[in-house]
Amino acid sequence: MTSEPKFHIIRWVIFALVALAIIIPVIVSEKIKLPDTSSRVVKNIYDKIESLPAGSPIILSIDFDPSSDEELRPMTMAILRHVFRKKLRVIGMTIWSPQSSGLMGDIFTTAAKMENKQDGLDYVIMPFKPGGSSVILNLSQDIFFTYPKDYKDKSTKELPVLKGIRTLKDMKYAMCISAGNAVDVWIVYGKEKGKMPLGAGCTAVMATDYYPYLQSGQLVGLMGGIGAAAQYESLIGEKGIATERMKPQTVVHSLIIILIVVGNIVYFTRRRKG
Amino acid sequence: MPESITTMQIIETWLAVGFTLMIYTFLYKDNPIFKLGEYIYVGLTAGYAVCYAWFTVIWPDLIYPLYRALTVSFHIKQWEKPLESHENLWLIIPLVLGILMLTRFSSKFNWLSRYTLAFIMGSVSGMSIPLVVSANIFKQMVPTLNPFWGPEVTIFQTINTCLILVGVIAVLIYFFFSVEHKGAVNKVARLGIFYMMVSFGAAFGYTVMARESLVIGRVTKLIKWASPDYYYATIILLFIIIGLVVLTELFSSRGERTE
Repeated sequence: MTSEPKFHIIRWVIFALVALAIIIPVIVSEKIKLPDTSSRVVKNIYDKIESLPAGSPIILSIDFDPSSDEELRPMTMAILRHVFRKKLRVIGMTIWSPQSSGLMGDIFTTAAKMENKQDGLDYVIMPFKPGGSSVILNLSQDIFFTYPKDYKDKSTKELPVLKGIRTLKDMKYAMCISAGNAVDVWIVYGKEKGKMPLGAGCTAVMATDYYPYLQSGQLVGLMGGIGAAAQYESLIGEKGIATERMKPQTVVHSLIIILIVVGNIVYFTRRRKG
Repeated sequence: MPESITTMQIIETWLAVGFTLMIYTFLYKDNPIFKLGEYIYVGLTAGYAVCYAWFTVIWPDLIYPLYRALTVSFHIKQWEKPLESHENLWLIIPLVLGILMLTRFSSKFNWLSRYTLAFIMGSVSGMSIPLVVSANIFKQMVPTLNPFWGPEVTIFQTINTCLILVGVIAVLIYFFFSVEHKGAVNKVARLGIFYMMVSFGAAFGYTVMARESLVIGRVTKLIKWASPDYYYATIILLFIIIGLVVLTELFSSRGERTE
């Protein structure tokens, strides 16, 4: 049996190896080249957005807070840049937490600056409203009742970006990027009431939970974690943060596979010895 | 300092680096520096949420319209613009229900909060049950009922449909405890375990990716913030935090010895 001090040392060795596997590729990232690939589930989202005519209204629900920012911001940025380039009208909202609002404002402003888009004309950011499912159900009846004012306290009825839009059914596409159960809420309430095509982005931890919804056609596509964000960056031809982060990610994954194999060999060898 | 980086950004960076390193001290062990960072985070988050809820929901959606409705109702026209109608008086109902929830803090009156909870449970059940059944049961049954062959069905779709059908049946049989798992039932149940293991393996792989991407994101930023542009924030604060952890360790070990 492994003694406690020995286990403590092994734990620190693993910490050190993981730290090195992250730091070294970050420093020498320019020398690491990764192939461009994209999975079908990620490409489906890209194709759906590509198929929408300019001026189509879409909803982007940003349902994560700073604790998942590192994982979900890259995919949000990639999606936003794509929809801005396609000249779609974007309604940014959140049903997750009050902290998501500030984060969403920052992400939208950054992407809008990159693609030269204007608040109120090309996109609008709605403030956080508690209630989750109730907010979506309200949207399915009247967007202006749910959000009488936008994030900057402007009357939503006067915004050009919302011209001709009344309810969720007027949306041509909706996408929820979430670190919690917001995707479930969008599938159950948004998709059922609005009937619009729905895409989802989530943390890698949750990705496996949503594959059944792809098979049933309730989701048009799924982006799970930083890997999917890197694939999307490759699709829009704008390699950014996610592509850079996939380099240390690949090295750490290789290290973890080695550690799992070594761990199993040690385990079975000891078991055989009794 | 480059012109593009403002003094405010430098202060923000130093705070971000400081708190990140304070939280990372947990890798060593649970310590007062980690606790300080954790408590500040929890306090800030709670405070931010309360203020945000007040300014974006409670005040504009409840208190202000209700106050206006009441003042107009009682002909106290002290507002510049008169209210269009008295329809907002119905807001008294959610206000009362909300106040009843606060009675949970009182051992004498906490039973009153049950009315609010009953309202929430009733309304949410009514809204949710049809939609949840439709989205999570009926529509989820569709992939298991796909045709095996046909003019538009490829060989890969047929294989997928077979895998899904077999998987659903095998896992359902594994969780079917009314029959003893013997013979053929046992074999199918074991196949169900195999399916679940594949699912757990995929979930574990994704979980590793998720946790790593959080660390990689933070480490990338810490490396960036170690540059002269940010006055070596990471390097300086790393030494300070390590020093503080060592000091707290010394104090706690001295305290233990005195006891």
